[in-house]
Formats: sequence, C-alpha cells, structure tokens
Amino acid sequence: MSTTEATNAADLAIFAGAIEQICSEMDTALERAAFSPIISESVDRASGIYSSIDGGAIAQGHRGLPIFTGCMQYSVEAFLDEVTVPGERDVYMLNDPYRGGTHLMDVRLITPFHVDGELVCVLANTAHWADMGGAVAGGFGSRSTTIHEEGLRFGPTRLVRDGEVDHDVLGLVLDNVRVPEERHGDIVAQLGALEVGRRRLTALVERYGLDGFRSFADQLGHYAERLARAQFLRLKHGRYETVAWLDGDGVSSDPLRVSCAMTVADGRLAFDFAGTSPTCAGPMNSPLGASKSGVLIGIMHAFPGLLINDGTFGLVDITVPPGSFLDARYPSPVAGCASEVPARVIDAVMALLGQALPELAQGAAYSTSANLTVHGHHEGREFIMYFFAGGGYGGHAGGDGLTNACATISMAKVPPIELLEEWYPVSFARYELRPDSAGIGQHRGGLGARYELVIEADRADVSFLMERGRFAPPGIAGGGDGALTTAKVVRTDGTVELPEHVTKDQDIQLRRGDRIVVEMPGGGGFGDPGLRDPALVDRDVRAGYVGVAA
Amino acid sequence: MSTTWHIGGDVGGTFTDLIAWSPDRAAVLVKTPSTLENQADGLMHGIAEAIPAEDLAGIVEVLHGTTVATNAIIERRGALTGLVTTAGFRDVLELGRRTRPQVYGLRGSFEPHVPRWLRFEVPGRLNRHGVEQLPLDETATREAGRALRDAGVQSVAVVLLHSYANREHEDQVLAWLADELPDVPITLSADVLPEVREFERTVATVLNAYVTPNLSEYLGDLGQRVGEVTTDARVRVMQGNGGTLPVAALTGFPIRSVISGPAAGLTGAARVLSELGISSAVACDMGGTSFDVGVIEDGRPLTTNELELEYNVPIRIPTLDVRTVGAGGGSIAELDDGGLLRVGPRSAGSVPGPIWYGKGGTRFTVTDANVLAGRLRATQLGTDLAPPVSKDQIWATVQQHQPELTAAFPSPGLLADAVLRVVVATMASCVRDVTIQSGRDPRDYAIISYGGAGPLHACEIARELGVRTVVVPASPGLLSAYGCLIADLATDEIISARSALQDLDTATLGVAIQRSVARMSENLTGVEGMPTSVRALYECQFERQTHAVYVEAPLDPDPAAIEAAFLAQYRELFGGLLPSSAVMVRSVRLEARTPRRAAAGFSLGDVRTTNVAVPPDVEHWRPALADDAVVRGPTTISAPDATLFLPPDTTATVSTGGHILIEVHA
Repeated sequence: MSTTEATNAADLAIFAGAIEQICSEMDTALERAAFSPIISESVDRASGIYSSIDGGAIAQGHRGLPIFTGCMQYSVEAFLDEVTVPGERDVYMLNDPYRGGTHLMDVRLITPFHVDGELVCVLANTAHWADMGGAVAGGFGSRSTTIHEEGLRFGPTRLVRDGEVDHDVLGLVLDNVRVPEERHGDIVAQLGALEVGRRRLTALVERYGLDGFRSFADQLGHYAERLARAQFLRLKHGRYETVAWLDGDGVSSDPLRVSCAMTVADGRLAFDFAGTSPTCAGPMNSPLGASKSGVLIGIMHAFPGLLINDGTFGLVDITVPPGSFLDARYPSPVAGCASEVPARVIDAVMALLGQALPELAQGAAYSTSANLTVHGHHEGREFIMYFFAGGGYGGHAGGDGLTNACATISMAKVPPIELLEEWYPVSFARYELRPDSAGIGQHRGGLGARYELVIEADRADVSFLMERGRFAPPGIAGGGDGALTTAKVVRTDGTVELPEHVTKDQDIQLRRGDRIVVEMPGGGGFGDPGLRDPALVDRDVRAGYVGVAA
Repeated sequence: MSTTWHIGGDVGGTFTDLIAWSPDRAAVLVKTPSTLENQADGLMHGIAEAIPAEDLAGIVEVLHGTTVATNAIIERRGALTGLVTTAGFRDVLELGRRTRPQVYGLRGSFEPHVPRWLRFEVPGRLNRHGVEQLPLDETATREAGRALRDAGVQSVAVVLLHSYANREHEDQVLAWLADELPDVPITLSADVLPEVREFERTVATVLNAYVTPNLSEYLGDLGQRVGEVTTDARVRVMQGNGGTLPVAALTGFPIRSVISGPAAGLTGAARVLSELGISSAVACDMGGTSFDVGVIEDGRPLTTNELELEYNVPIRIPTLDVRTVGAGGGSIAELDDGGLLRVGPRSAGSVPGPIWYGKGGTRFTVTDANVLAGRLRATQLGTDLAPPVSKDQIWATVQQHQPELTAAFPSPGLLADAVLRVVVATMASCVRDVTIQSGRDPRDYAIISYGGAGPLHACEIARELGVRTVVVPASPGLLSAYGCLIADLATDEIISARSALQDLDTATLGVAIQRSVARMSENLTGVEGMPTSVRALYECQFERQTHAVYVEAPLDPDPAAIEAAFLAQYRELFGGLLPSSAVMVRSVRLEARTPRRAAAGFSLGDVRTTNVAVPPDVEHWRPALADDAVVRGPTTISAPDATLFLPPDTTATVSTGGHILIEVHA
C-alpha cells in the first residue's frame, strides 16, 4: 500500500464520520421541532445525502427509521428522473408510492445541493405525518381498494421556489389533510432540517474542495462495498429458499405469500421473489422501493456494521416479479406497505441468511407494527390517536429474544401511557406483558405486550391494520412458534366483536366505555426446548412469563 | 489548634483521585488505585498517603464522588427490591418504551432491576388530572406489603399512574406499606421524579430504591472509618447535578449520586473558568477509556434530564449534561474489514493497558501513538511506571501483533499521525454533537480540557472545530477531585404545573414554589449558615409537542416573562418559524445552590504532588514553569498528572491560578 493510500485509511474515516454527522444533525433538527408525536416521540423520520446522478445513498443518519433509510434513494431517483434541472434553492415534496414512496403519510422533502451553480448531490428527508386526508383518519384504512381512498398523492412538487415557500402549494396540501396546523408544523420542521444540512454540507465542501468531496464520496462507496463483501463472503455459496405469509389484504381473507430465493455467489447476494402472490385488492400492496428496502434492512439487521451506502447495496440484486403485491402499481392501495409487508420481507431475508450462515439463525421476530387508529371528536375537537404495542424478537444461539421490542422496520417508541391519556379521551385499563406469547426453545423468544384501552369520548371509531393473526412467528432449529396477534372490541354490555379479517378492519363505531383489547405476538424460539437451562425454566415460571393461565 | 484539612476525592473505576487542601499548607495531590470491593478502603489509603498521621485529626471535611450507586445499577448488584404499582401496569419497567438497543441488529437483552415476582399491583386509579377514578384498595396494598416482607425485600419502590398530578395515593400506599414493612426503606415516585412519563419515572424510582441500601452501607462505613481518625469531620457526597450534600440530606435520594464523577469535573472546570474570567466553554474530559463532553455557559454547566445509563435505563433526574464517546488513552487502533482505520471504542483499559505501560498490552492505543509521536515522555502519576517500553519496542510489538496496521502505515510517524488524527476527529465530532444538538456553535466557545489524556489533544480538537482559546487547568488530571472540593451544596425540586401558559394559575403555583424554596433554603443554609440562591427553570413546549425546553424565568411565575424566554430559546434551537399553537408549562424545576464557606479559598494554583521527580528528556516541566511564562508550539509541557501537547501555531501562557491559557492561531 502506498503512502497516499495509507493516509487515506485515516482521512476517509474522518470524512465518513463528518458526512454521517451532517445527516444526524438533520435528523435531530427534524425530530426536535416536529409536531406529529409519531415524528418527535417515535422518531419516524430519516435524513440523507444522495448522488445527483442516480440517487444512490452517499450517507444517511445512523438513527434514521430503517424503512425510510432503505427507501429514500428510490424517492430521490424518481425525483431526478422527473426534475431534470432543479433550481438552486428549490425544495420539492413527494409522497407518491409509485415513485419511490411508501404509504401516503410518509412525506419526502428533497432539495438539490449546488456548489458554484453546479449540482453536486441531493439532500432529502422523510417524515411520517399523522394524516394525509383520505377516507380513514390517520391513513391506516384496511378496506381501501384504490390509492384514492387512502389520501392525497403527489409526485415531485415544488414547495419552495428559490428559497420562498409557495403558499399555493402549501395551501393545497393543508386543505386536504386533517389537523392542518400540526401538519404545517411538520413541514416547517422538515424544511428546517434541510437547511441545517445545506449549511453543514457547504462547510464540508469548502473544507475538502469540490474535487476532494467527490473523490471522498466515491471512496466511501468503495469502502462500503469492501466492508459488505467481507461479510457476504462468509456465507455458504448456494441457493436458499423460504416462504413467509401475511394474513390477508383486508378485503378478502386469502393469505398473501412472500416467496424468496437467495443465491450466494462470490460475495454477492441475489434475491428473487418469484412465486410471490399477485397484486391484492386491499391495502397490503408494497411499492417496489419499500419491498427492496425490506431486503436491505434484513441484511443490515444481520450485519449491523455495514454502511448505508450505495456501495453496500450494489452487491445485492433484487428481482421482484411484475404484477406481484411486492411491486404495487397505480391504483393499488398501499397503506400497509411501510409497516407490514416489508416486515415480512425482512423475516424472509433473515431466514435465508440464517440458512447460509448458521450463526445468524434466529427465531422470527413478531414482525407486525399492529397499527391501531382511534379517531373521533371530543369536546369540540377532532383527534387521531395511533397506538402500536411491541412484540418479541426471536431466540438465537446467544440467548433469548428481546421482549416488547420495536418493529423491525423502525425504531419507533411507544408514547408514554400517561401522555396518551393526557392528549386523547382514552384510558388504559392495562398495559403489560403477555404471558405464554413467546415461542419455546433452548433460547425462547421475547414476550409480546397486551393492552386494554377504554374509550372516554362520546363518539369514536377504530381501525385495525395488523398482522400475524393467522401465521405465527416461526421458531427455528426445534424452537416453538410465537403466539398469534389477537384484537377485539368489547362493548359495555360485554359483547365481543372481532375485526372482520382477524387483524384488519376499519371504522368500527365506538361509544364511551367500549374497550379495545390487543395481544401481541412473542418471537419464535431457538433450539430444542428440552435443552433449556433449568434455572431459566424456573425463572420463567416464577415470573409468569410461561405456564401461568392469565 | 493543628492544621485543618479538607479532602476532595473522586473514586473512579481505576484510580481514586484525591486533593488534600489546608488553608495554611500547600495542597497535596494523590492518585491511588481504587478498591472496588469497598471504595472506602482506597479513599482512606489516599487520605493516609496525603496527610501526615499527626494531622489526621485536623480533617474537617471529606467531599467525594462515588460510583457505588452507578456500579450497583450497571452490575445488578443492588438490593433485593420490590415494586408496588397501579393495577394493570406492573410490567412498565420491563416493557420500556418498546425499543431495541441498536438501530440495526435484532439481538440484545435487558434485565429489569426488580424481577416480575416482586412487582405487585394495587387497584386504585387517578385520571390525567389527578382526579380519583377508583379508590385505593387497602387490603390489596397490605397484602402486597406482607408478600414483599415474606420475600425478604430490602427496599421498595412505589409508582402509581399520574402521581405527578396528585400524590395522595402514593402517600397512602406508603403509610400502609410502612405498617407492614417497618424497617424497609420505601421510595415514592412523587418524591424522586414528579413528572409525566410512567416508564422513566418508574426507572428513576426503582433505581433509587435499588441503590438505597448499598449507598447507606457504604456511607455508614466511610463515616465510621473517618470517625476513627477524627471526630469532627463531615462526610459529603457529590451528586450528578454538580453539588454536594451532607450524607443525611442525601438519604432517601441516592440516585442523585449517579454520574457524580463527570459532574465533579464540570464543576471544577466552571470554577477554573471563573478564575480566568471566561464565561462559556466546552469541557472535554479524556481519560483512559472515554471522552466526556459538557457545556458551560455563563459560568454554569448545562443540565439535562435525558441521560441514559445503559439500554433501557434512562436517568431522568436533573444532572449536569455529560455526553460520552469511547475514545480515551487506552482506545485501541485497528483496521476494519473494509481497510478503514478505527480507534476505539475497544479499550485496553488499565490492565494490560497500552503497549507503553509494559504490562502485557499488545494492541496499539492512543497513548502509544502519543509516545511514538514524541508527545508523551514522562511518567504519569499513579501509573507506577518508569516506562520500560521504548518507541522501538512499541513499533516491534505492533509489527508482531497487528501487522495489518504496520502494512497500512509503514512508519511509526505515519501510524501515530493517522491514529491521532482519527481520534481527534472522533472527539471533535462528539463536541459538535453536543453543541449542535442544543443549537450552539462550538466556535463561540473556548475549550477547557482535562483528564489524564485531555491536554494531549485539546489544541487539535480546538483547531478542528474553529475554537481559538483552550484552557488547561492547573492539575488537569485531578480536576474531578477539585470539583468535589469546591462544589456548592445543591438540591433540586420539581413542581408539576401542566397548564397552558395563558391559563396558568400563577397564585397556586407561586405558593408551591415559595414553599419549596423555603424548604430547600432552610435545609441548605442550615448546613453552614451560608445564603441559598434558587433558580426556577420552567419546562415549556407548544401544546402537544413532546419535546420540552427548560427556560429560566423569575421564581414568582410571570407568564409574559416565561413566554418571552421560551420563544427566544425556541428560536435559537429550532429556527425562526414558530408554530401557532398554545405554549404549555409542564413543570418547574427549582435549583437551589449554597456556596460552602471554605470553598472560596481553595485554588489549584498551589499544589504539590508526592514522590514525583522531574523525569529526564522533557521539553518543559510544568511545575517548573514560572508565572506568566509563555511557551510556543510545537512542543510539549510534561506534568505528573497530564501532559500538554502544543501543536504549531499555538501560544501557551501560564495564567492566574497556574492555569494555562492557549491561543490557537487560525
């Protein structure tokens, strides 16, 4: 290695840290100023810097929401396709699922970054708004059959023209969403974050010079590739297959099949989803970007040290058959695409990687965001409340699965119950562990949560968009499956109503005193339960994690 | 009357640092190995080393930071603790906020500090306004108390939903439990952290209960040991908020001693800055394994309630704001799979330590890089070594054990340079994180650098960030001990407000504040008769925002003043665009501070260290530098506790109190 290269091993490390820090600063700015609790409390947002040639990721914040992280490069790609000469201080917004988006509530803001009039790269962020119009407040309707019922859709649309917000465009958007003043706050936060990124990136380019910046960005890609290849070379060559199931699309009761084959050769991975179910009528379709993002997240979960960079992703080929529900096209509804479908893709990818490298084998995670949306009016004010409880991750050779973990696609935390009770006319009768929810095994899965919510508004409605009601998280290597999701409405007279499609239903009308009860799955177990350390068995029984009728 | 002595001590993971100060003698510095079984042993050894035996009776104060509570929490070695909570919510502690340890990777584990079988539910419910929805069940509460007694618990935490809005139910539970468990300490969440957010409040309350017996035992033991040598000495404990309290006043709130070490360092740094007339600085403490950063503004370290001790263990009580990255003298350099140089977070620790220590270390560390670069020459205090390992031997060790490093960096100079540049970038980015996240520009600040390894890198960090002024205190390696010695007496209280600013019931809140102020002042002023000052920090946010901002405003609640302060700070943090919704006040945090009578006289300026000879081969020997001496970089100023490296284009001046003031030229 020459001296120049030697110097680079340190210089590139410094550059990599600096550019990632810019993304994190954008994330921080967005998170702290946002209004939607789902952004500020649940960190449902991401920021990044992308190539101006093909939208490939140069860097993204390490605390960004994974599903956005994997997906934003496709949004930027769509932006670059359509907006060939973006103005220097323009900002575009985009939420079109078919042009690199996820569900409509996820809004990307994208801005070109110029130096001396020359387009250098693109800055973007995504944030989940609590509403985007549409038939169901909050956007998680489970019975839509076209995108139009799901809300307002826009391709790359210029929101800021030469540094000035276009109030016509802003007004058009705000007039079509619920609780517009909060959404306005979210837009302001997203714009502020891009400005932070622009300032910091300007300083970085000044420091390295434009050629230096480009050279380092390029080297960073090569480095990411080397890092990924070193890991992929550890996988056993061959072709592996798996199938994972979703309960159904919310319109019919037919399950949806994710078929995936992985081919490992020479440090490259190829995933082929041939055999996957066709486009479905209900909102469980996934746009191509979100589906591919599921693959990339699965790989990142298996190899957490890899970089979120085009150099990593360039070693991965993904083939999704056109016409399948993993390649949603207009006008298919997609509300479940960010939370549920890619989660199952992640399950499939991690199962395949576990076959090719045994140390990665792990029982399946609970893998449902299990969205509950309660909407209503109370004391003259409209409200929309989301709640999603956690479930267990799978057991693995190193130990039991994590209990009440966040969704695999996100880092979203649950807001405190005390704040939910303060913000919304609801109270929680219980929020606790769900015993016997974990798959048994030498290393059992983690436990799921369960909760019971009492409606205190005069009038409200509830929608369920959940999964794992029919197909449990599988155990592995002799471990048992996790429990299924259950959801029900209990009326004040004790009558129990179940969602029409097990885990999916919408606009169930509620009255004061009605209860919603949800139980979440645990993770799949790992290994023969007979081999479990007796001390751990005793501990589990004593704690009531297992074997105790609730 | 013999000489009086004041002892300031900081018990760290590796070393116990100690300063013995006396009004009419030179202060004495001692660095002695920590004794992890019983921290009092190390502390007493240090005292015996610092002070002549005939003087021991002259000790009047032992002020110290201890890691007893932090260690018990992290190592799960606290008391057998029970939890009594609202029916339906016994698992809050274990559910957390639905998280995982890392963004990527689905593995990890969490062990709750109270096992599930010791978590008991009692019927009884308040709503969000603190209004009773369901009365408390006395029978169930007493049964829980008896079950906890039968289980042999040593401590109990009580956390009921919405108790920040109304503490009557918790007080009632306490009364019934105290009947059933007469000898067991009971912690109420309404005392420890009367703030909304049940998980964070539960953690703070449970941890407080969990460490209560450990800390009581330790402090009891220390008090007795000190009492054996002198009858007059008072033992005081450093808190995470940067102030000390008498042992008796800390009783009931041991959780407040968490992160006392870094807080003591920041407190010492603030004092040094005030001696130099500098009001704002970023404080950088670099030791063997970590780099801790805090911000001092207008002479005061910033506070936070967002520290996380480890995964799923947030500490939401008010502490000084200290952020940590794994970059220290012992941090190991290695190439990753992609051929990039990484420095830390893996550390060689103190055993085997860097290769240079000659104690069996085989991994190239930041300290070794400093030796190869010619910056570190002298024996370091407490390390007990006359370095037997030469530069050539270090290089040979790397060639043998990390050949990939010597292949990538084919000369000692290149290797050292690369490692130092990467570790400086890591630390600088930590400083950026800390400042930028709170809307601050590091260029507006000076850097004050301390810890055993801090001054080696301070000027380069400054240059990286565009900072022009660097301060290195006299005795930078023992600044935490100094901080303990000079810290104010301090206590904090939180009053729940939860109201839109326009609807704020200023009369009721004002009365509650006055009551707290009177109580805190009486307690603190009662210690030495010194006057107590209290600041009010109002926790504000726009309605339904989840993130709150603390702003200072008059003790007598004045909505206009609170709003003005909030809007000003909000603009500074988040830019000029303001939401149109109402401003809320969630709570008021009261910070009471009382200077200690003797503290004003303590200075680092006149100290001596025991048993350190001037090593050969040093460029400058710090204890020998004259007042007002000017030293220009590039050079090194060696010292027994911490060596200072001056890169080119820097000018160092020995200033007031023996502190070194460095100008970093652009």
